[in-house]
Amino acid sequence: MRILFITILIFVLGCKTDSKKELRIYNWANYIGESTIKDFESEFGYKVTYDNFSSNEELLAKLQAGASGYDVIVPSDYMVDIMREENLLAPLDKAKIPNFKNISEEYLNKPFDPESKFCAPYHWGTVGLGINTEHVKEEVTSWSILWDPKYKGKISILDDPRSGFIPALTLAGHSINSTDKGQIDHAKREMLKQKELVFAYTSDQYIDMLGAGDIWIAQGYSGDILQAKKENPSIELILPKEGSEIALDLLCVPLKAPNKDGAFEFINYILRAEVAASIANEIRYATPNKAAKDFLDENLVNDKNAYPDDLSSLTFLTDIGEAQEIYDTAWLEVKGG
Amino acid sequence: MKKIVQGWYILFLLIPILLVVFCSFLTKGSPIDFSFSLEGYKRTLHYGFPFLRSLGYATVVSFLCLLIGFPTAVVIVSSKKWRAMLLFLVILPFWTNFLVRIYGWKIILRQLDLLGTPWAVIIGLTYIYLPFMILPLYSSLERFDSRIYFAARDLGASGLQSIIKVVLPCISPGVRVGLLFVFILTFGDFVVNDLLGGAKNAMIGSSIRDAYLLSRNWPLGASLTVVSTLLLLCVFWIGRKWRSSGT
Amino acid sequence: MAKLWYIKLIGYFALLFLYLPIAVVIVMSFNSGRREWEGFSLIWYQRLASNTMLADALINSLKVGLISTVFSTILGVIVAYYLIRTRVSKFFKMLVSLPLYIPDIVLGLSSLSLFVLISFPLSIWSITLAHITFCSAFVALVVSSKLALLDKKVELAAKDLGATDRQTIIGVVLPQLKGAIIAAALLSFTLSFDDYVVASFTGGPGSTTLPVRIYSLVKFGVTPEINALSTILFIAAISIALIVARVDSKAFTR
Repeated sequence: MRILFITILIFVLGCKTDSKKELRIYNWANYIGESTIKDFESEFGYKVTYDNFSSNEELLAKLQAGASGYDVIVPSDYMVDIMREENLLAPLDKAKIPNFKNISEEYLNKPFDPESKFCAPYHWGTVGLGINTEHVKEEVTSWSILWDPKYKGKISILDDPRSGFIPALTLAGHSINSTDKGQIDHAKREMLKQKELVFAYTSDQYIDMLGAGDIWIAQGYSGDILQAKKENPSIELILPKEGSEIALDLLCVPLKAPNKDGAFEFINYILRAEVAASIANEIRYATPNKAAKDFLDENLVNDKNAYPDDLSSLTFLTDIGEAQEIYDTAWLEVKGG
Repeated sequence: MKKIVQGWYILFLLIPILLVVFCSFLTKGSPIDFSFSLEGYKRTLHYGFPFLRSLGYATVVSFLCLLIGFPTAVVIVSSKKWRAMLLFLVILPFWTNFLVRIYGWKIILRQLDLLGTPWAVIIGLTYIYLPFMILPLYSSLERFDSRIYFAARDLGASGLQSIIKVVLPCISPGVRVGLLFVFILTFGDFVVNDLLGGAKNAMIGSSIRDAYLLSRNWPLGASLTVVSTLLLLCVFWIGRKWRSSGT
Repeated sequence: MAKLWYIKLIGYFALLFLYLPIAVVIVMSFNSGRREWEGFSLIWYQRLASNTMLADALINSLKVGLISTVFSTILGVIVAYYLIRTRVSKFFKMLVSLPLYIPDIVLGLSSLSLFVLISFPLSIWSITLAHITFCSAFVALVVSSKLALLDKKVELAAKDLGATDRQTIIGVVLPQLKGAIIAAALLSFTLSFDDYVVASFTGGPGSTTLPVRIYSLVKFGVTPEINALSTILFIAAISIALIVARVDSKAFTR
């Protein structure tokens, strides 16, 4: 008993009090360079608290809990839209972020953030196919490979009502933002047909599965697949010709952030050409930072699937209001409801 | 003192849960729309299969845990000298973190070609919740007078008969607690199903998580929760009736 | 129990079964590669040493674990005593066993709703409060199931001899419950230390506990540093147990 109390005492007393400036960042997991935070800390004299969330909804829930206390957050495009409407974001003080000019114009002034008042684009990515070319010898250009019985038990699909239906919707020529029940039901039937070929429905484990050989074909996010490629060069990223989703993640500052100036300083640091490039080289997602292009890994820049020239077949997912329920019900059925 | 204790649970347990129940009768919004609606419960009707699946897994895993846990508790109780050390050994694995152990199983199950199948989920769940059966069983067995067992044997019963008809009833508080723990914990699981079973056959736990964190449909999540809780209470009420009619 | 050898055999195998994935984790922590065996190496231990995120998470988990264990054990024992030895309303009975019927997602979510309602900041303390609440229910259950099997006559005898209720509890009941209390306390710490769901919902900036941190890192398969950390924790736990056993022999021979 005594030992227990002593141990508690030691840990409670062990709470360090730091005189350095503090910054709290809330980001996706594996979405920053390994040494980025440490480098920032030593250059600017901060003590950074770095936490991770795994979905935009989780981020929103914590923010709406009102008591979250983060200075920098990284929501996706549609979530920025929602947060703006809910008045959860603080406008960026562009005077404190001179490196903002490094961002390529095509990623600014988007509908979800008019005048780019609240957020600085961080990275963008697409949903594509991760193919293990050692086992899949044919050339892959279409989502239809997900229905090929040759690969039974070697396929993974994103575990998400919107992203999971992208292959079926685009193959039928429908929009990934469709609100038509008939089209969604058709997609559902297609996915049910395909279910027996699936090894797993997952939005994050496919990287491990590709590496371990559990699967040969994964529906996944571009950056993740390219990271898997670093470990295993026979893995390729393919952007199917029928089209897919594009998503942009942005650096924002919550309205109630305790250290807004620190947040601006951090964002400015991330937008530095070399820093942006080093992050992009590590996490393999595309960077909207035009100044960074000079410092990017050549293999990455030249990969037409990583940095496609033609973005026309790529669409942002938008809020579909009531129709979300149709997707949810359909997806439930696919997963065994 | 009693009032303080009661107060704690009211504040930190009852009120939160009432908030959830309250939420189940509201409308989906951002995060919630304070207008009455039964939409959440209507949608819950679609979730028949996940509920059944969770109940099924819970039953199978509870049974397996009892089957494996009872002998283990016997082993621990039998050795006066090493008892505490063995108890500690039962709990020790937990200190290496749930996810890490599941990933350890991923490696093993991959070799056995069982990954992504329901068997993987059953093995994983049994493994994770086994200690929750062993500890209460041990706690009851500790006080059990083994002479009762030998008396039964002397009177002609076989080893198995003696255990089922004499030992288990005597330690029934422990058995009940063990079954309770394992059943409920398994019922609400989603992580093992996601990691070892490929998330292919939805359990109600993942449906609840998805409702809150994916579809942002809090009333749906709340109704699923309320229905799950009622379902569990029913199961235990039935279990209690069945047991008392047996003696 | 000579004829029970086959029962005991299952028991011994079960104990081994409990350590199967742990053995895999420990072995992999010394693997210089990430999947196939590529040779013995301590590289992941070196990388671990400079990983402050994991270290901070571990400290958070230990803080939450120790504090919540102390309080949930006390609370749980008190509840167990009320349940078995005194008259309590049905309401009370239902209330204290509620955490057992609720999936952890709901416990996490409902706790989060409460903290939002009363504007309690999310931090180590919000996690601890939530943990105390549900862990104490488990403690209560384990201790009460043992308490129910105790012979009341000993307590009555003590009271006959003039002991007050308090003296009876401290001098007669608690010593008999020692084993169950220790088991319950261990269980409580384990539940807290290993909890992912509740901690992820009720946590705030800087309160990331180990399971939450690990969850976000395992995207690419367990980074071997985690295997190294797990191995170290494992060895540390065994060492502590051995030291306690040596120093305070009474704690382990009961």
